[in-house]
Amino acid sequence: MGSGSSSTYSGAGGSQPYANTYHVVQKELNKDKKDPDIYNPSTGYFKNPTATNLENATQNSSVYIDGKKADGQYTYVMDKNGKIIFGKRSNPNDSAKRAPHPTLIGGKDPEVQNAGMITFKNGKIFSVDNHSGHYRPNIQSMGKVESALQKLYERDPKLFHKDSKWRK
Amino acid sequence: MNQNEKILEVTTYLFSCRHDDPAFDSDDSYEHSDAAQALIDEYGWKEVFPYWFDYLQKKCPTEDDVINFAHLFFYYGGSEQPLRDPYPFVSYLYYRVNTAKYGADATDIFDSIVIPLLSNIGEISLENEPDYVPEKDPRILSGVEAWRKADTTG
Repeated sequence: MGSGSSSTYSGAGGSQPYANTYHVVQKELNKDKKDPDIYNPSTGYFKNPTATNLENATQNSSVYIDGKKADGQYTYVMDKNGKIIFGKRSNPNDSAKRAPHPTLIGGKDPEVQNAGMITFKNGKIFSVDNHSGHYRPNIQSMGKVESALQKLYERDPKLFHKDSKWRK
Repeated sequence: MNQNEKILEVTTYLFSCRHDDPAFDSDDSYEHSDAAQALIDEYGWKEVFPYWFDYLQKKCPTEDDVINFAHLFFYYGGSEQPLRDPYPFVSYLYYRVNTAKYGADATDIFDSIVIPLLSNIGEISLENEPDYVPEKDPRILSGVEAWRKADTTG
């Protein structure tokens, strides 16, 4: 069972205690439930249409999203199966809002192993962090993401920007 | 060639290309990226930034040009550099491009610039404000208004 379940973590600052998986923190869940552009009472979080499995998004040593080279900061989660899913922050339902991390999975209780922001420059992986106000994952969970990216690096180092830590 | 001419020449070289041109820094080449880094290393960000901002104001006549500039600015690491008051610069992006009209292409790359610049000076934190929307930030809105006034009076 993951930590950060609605009964155990208020989301009032700091990270959640280390766990295999994390639920959305209560504070953010309560807020999202009031917003029909983010959360539907019967189906839960909408699914971000740009959600992309990083492993399957590579072509000619570059990462693509929506038919273009990934370029900028994107939200990402590591799902329960260890896949890194990333997507655009813009909200397709309302341009004046953003699509939070849980929308990369969608549904009523999207559990993740980690969440944060991933940065690409001209299609190359540049950096990754664990900045997610919705999941507030423990820093210890970064190791799982680092390992997954290391495997990707071993498969194709040119997927990574030359100034990224993997190539230094 | 003096310092000003040199910065101007390299700035023009860096920003006169299309970020989505398949030939742009392709196949593990970092020619433009390296040139940007060398320029900042040699003259310092404080000297270089005004030239980049000036290029945006004078050489990017269309919304598409501004979005292209934003991608290049991000790629060259502009959002990782310190800017004590980033509001005039970031407000200018929204003054020039209506992101509601232009859509995700503008929204995502502008967010990618604004969030690090404002996080660097402690103005925002995505962990505390995960739904932060620059277009609703009163400080940016007032910056956009200032650019609009300057445009009509200037």
